[in-house]
Amino acid sequence: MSWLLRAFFELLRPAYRSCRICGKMITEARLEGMAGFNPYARYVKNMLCLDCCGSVPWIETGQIRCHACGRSVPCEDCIRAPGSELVRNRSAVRYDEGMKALLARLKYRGDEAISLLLEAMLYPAFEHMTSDIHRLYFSHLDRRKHRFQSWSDSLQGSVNQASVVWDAITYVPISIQRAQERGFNQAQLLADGLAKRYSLPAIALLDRVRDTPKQSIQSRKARFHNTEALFSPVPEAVRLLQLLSANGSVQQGRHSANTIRILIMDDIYTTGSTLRACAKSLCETGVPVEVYSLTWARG
Amino acid sequence: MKAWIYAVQIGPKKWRADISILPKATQLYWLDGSFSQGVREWDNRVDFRVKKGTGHLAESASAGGLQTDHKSLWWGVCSQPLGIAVETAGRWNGMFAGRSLEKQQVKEQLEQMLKHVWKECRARETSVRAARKRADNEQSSCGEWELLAAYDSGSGSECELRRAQGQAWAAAADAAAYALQGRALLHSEAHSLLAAAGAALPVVGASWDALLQLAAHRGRLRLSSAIAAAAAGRQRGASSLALAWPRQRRSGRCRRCGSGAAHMRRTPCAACGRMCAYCEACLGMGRARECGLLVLGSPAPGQEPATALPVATPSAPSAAWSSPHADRPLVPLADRLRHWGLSPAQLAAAGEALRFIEAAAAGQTAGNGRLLPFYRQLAARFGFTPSAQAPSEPGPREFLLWAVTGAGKTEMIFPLIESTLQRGGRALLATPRRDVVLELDPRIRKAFPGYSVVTLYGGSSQRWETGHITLSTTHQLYRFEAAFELVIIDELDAFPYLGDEQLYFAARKAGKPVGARVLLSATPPEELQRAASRGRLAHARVPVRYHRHPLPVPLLLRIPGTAELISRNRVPDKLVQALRHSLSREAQLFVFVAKIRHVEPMCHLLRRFLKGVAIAGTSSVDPERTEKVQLFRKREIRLLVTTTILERGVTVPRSDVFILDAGAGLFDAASLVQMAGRAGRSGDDPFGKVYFCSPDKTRSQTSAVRQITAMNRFARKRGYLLGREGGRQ
Repeated sequence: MSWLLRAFFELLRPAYRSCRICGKMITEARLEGMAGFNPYARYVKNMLCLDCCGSVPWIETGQIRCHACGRSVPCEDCIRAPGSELVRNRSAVRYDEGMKALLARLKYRGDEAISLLLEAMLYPAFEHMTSDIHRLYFSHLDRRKHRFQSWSDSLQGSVNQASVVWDAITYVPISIQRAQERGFNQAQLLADGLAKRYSLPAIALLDRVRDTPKQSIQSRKARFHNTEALFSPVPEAVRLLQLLSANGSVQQGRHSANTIRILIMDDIYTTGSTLRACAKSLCETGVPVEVYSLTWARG
Repeated sequence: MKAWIYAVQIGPKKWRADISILPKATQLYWLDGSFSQGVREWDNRVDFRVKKGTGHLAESASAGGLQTDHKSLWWGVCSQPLGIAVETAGRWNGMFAGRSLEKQQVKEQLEQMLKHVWKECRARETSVRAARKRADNEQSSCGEWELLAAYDSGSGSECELRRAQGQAWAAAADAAAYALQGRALLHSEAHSLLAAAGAALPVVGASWDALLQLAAHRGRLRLSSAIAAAAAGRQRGASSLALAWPRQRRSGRCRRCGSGAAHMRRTPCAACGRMCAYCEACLGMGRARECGLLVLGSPAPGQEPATALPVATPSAPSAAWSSPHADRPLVPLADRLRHWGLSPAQLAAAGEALRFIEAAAAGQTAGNGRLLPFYRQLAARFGFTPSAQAPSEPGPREFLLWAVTGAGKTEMIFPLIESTLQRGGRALLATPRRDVVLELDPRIRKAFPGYSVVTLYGGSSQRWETGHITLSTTHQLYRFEAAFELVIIDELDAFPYLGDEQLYFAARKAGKPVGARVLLSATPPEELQRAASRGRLAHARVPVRYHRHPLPVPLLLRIPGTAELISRNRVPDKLVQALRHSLSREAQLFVFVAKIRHVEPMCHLLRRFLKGVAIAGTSSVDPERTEKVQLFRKREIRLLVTTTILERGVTVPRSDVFILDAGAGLFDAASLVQMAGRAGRSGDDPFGKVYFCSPDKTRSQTSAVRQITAMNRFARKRGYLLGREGGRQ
C-alpha cells in the first residue's frame, strides 16, 4: 500500500531539474522582462541554477573588440598575422576557470550530457553571427519585411536566416586514435546539434592526417608549427562542395553565383591555428568557399 | 573497443565460445603447439612448487586441459563491438556449452546467436533510423567465419623459441593476474595498475593486452564489457499481453556500480561505431562504456583454473597467526577481546559481531558440506550428472552495529579486523568522507603495526597497492570485486550512502561471497531499524558511550527562525541566556544553522549580543575550515557557527550544541541525533547541553528526542550506566 501512496505523491511532486554544472535543484529562473534577465542566457535558463547562470562569462556582441576573431579584448594575433582563409570567428563565452572545468568534464571525463549545455550556450552567438552576415549580404532581399518586423529571436526567423546564410556546417576532426580513446568528437556533437536545430546539413569535410600531441599542452609557437598540413579534405569533399555550390547558384540572390559559405565548429579558439589550418585546407579544394568559424569558448 | 568472437573445441564435440581482444595472443594460445607446451611447462613448474610443500608430486601435464590433437577454432573474421561480443559468447555458452556439436553446427549456431544479439541491441538503440541505415553492412559482417586448425610451429629452433615465449608469457600473465586479484578495473585503469605494480613485460613483444588476454584464457581473470547488455526480457505470457502493460525497455546494467537503465545514456560511439551506452552514475570514477573493457580479477564461478594463484595478501608477519583457520581453533573470544580495553557495552557488542563474522566464515563451508551430498544424491537418482557450478550462494551476510554517537565505534571494529587478518583474510573499512579516512589512517596503522595498510581516496598515492587492511572512501569500492573477507561500512546513513543504490551495490560486490559485512551507524535508516527489530538483520546495539554516562537529551527552545532573527537584527533573550550559561560553564559552543548563507550574518548578530567572546563561522565553502576547527579545539574560538558539515566525526571535549532552525526540512531525525551527539563526548564533562531552537515542534525533532531517550532507557535496563544514573529511575 505504501508504495502506491508513494507513487501517487510522486505524481504530485513538482518537476525539479538539477543544474548541469553544480547539480543543485533549479527552483527559479529569470524570465524575459524580469530584472537581471540576460538575453544570452535565455536558452540555458532551464539547464542552470541562478548562480551558475549568472557566472557564465558571455561574450556579448557589444563587447567584441576584434572583429576577425571575436575576442572581447584587443587582439594582437589578428593584427600580427592578418589575412587568412578564415573570414571571421565568433565564440560564445570567454574561457575562464569555470568554463575550463566544464569543458574538461566533457572532454576528459566523457560526460556527454554536457554537450547539450554547450550547444545551448552557442545558440545566441550563432544567431548573432548569422544575422550579422544576413544584414551584410542579404538585407536588400527583404528590406520591406524588416521594416515591419524587426529581426526577432524567434526560432523560425533564425532558421530561415540560417538556411539562407549557411550552406553547410562542418567541424574540426579528431584523429582516429583520439576517437578510439574518447569515443566521440566534441566539435561534431556541437555541429550536429546546431545543424539539427537550424535545419542545416552537417557534413564531415576534413580528415586529421596525423595524431599530434594535445594542443592544450603546447606553447603558442609549437601550436602554429603543429597544425601545418595537419588537415586534408576527405576524398568526397570536392564533390560535396561542388554539389552545394550548384545548389546555391540555383537559388536566387546569392552575392556571387557560386561561392558557398561554410561554418566550422570547434570547442575552443585559443590561437586560432587549428581553425585557420582547417579553413586553408577547405579553400585548397578549388571550389570557391568562404569559411567562418564558431567556437564555444575563446581562450 | 572491438573484440573477436570464436568458439574453441575443448573436447570431442565439446565447444566453448569466448571473446578475444587480441587475436594474436588467442591464436597463439589455442593453436600453436609449442607455445601451449611452454604454457603447460610453466604450469607444471608452479604446480610442483605449490605441491612440494604438502608432499604430493606434480600431477600429469593435463592441468590446462590443452590437447593439441583435435584442436580447432571457429574464428569470427569481423570484429564486433565488445558488448555484443561478450553477450553473444555468454549466451552461446549458456545454451550449448554442455552439448556435443558437429563442426558445421557450431558455426551456424554462433552466427545465428550473433545476428540475434545484434537485432536485440539494435532494437534498443534510440535512433532507429540511424541504426537501420547501418544495418546492411553489419548484417553482412556477422557471416564470415573461418576454421583454424592447430599447428606445430615448424623447425626445431622455431619450436624452441615459441616454447620459451609460452613460458615467459604465462609467467607474466600470472604476475598480472596476481596484481589484478579482486579488482574490477576499466581498461586504462588496468593498464596503469599493471604499470604501477611493475608486472614485467616479457621480452618478446607482448603488450599489456596480450597478458590480460592470456590470463583470461587461463581462467585467472575475466574480460567483460563494463555495461552488461541486459536481455530484452520478452514475456510471452497471456497475462502480459492482455494487460498490455508498457514494459520498460531495459538498456543494460553497469557492471561496476549496478545502476540500471535510468542511468544509461546512449550516444553514437566512435570506438565501436554504434549507439553505445555509458553509465552516468559512476562517471566520476571513469567512464564505463558498453564497448569498454572491464577487467575482473576473479575467476568465473565454476571455472576456477586447476592451479590456483596464491592469495594476493602478503603473508602475515607473525608466523603463529598465518596458519589457516581450519588447522587450529582460535583463542577463545574473551581472551582476544581483552587487550583492546573496551567498556562492557562495547565488549558485548564486539563479541556478538565477532561471533557473527566467524560463524559466517565457518558456516558457509559447513553449509556446503551438508547441502552438496544431498544434492548429488538427488541428481544421481534422476540420472543427472551434477554440474560443476555450485548452487548459487547468498551474498556476504550483514551485521548492523548500532552504536550511539561517541560510543567508540572505531575501537569496536579493531577486534573484527584482527580476527579477519588472523584467519588470513583481507579487511576493508569504507567511510563516506575523505577527512574521516585520513583521520582513521594513523589510528589503524598504530593498532596493527605489523600489517600493511592501504589508504584509498580520490588522488591517493596508494591507488594501485594491495594490503591487509584497506581504508577507502566509498566511491573507491567500484574498483573492487570479491576482494575482501570483511567489509566494514562506517556511517552508512551519511550523505553519499543514503538512498544511493550504487554504493550499496558496490559495497556488496567488494566483499567475497563467503565474507561478512558489518554496517556501523548511530542513526540507521528506517528500513534497517525495522529489519533489525523484526529479527531479519543480525545486529548489536551499543546504547551507551564509552564513559558510561547517558546521552544528553535535547531541550526544545521556542524561538523564531534564523532568517527572521537576521532580518529583525536581534536575538531572543531565551537564547542569549542559554548561550551565556553555557559559556559561563566553560563549554565550547556549536551553533548549527541550516543554510550556508546564514552563517556569516549569524556570526555578526551573535558578536553584538555576546561581547568579548571569540566567535567564528565556517561552512563547506570556507577554505579555512580546517584551521578554524583546529582553533575551536584549542579553545581559541569559543563559539563556532556552522552547517551540517561538522555534524559527524568531530570530537571537541566539553561542548554544548545549539541547533537553530531545528525544524528546517534539511535536518532530519538522523542529522539532529548526529548533531546532538557532539555534546558531552568526553569523560570529564559527560553532561553537555543540547538545544533544539525552532519556532515549532516538528516530527523530526520529537523523533530524534525519542531515539535518544530510548537508547538511554535501554542502557539503563542493561545496567551499562554508571552507578548513580543507573540506579535512578
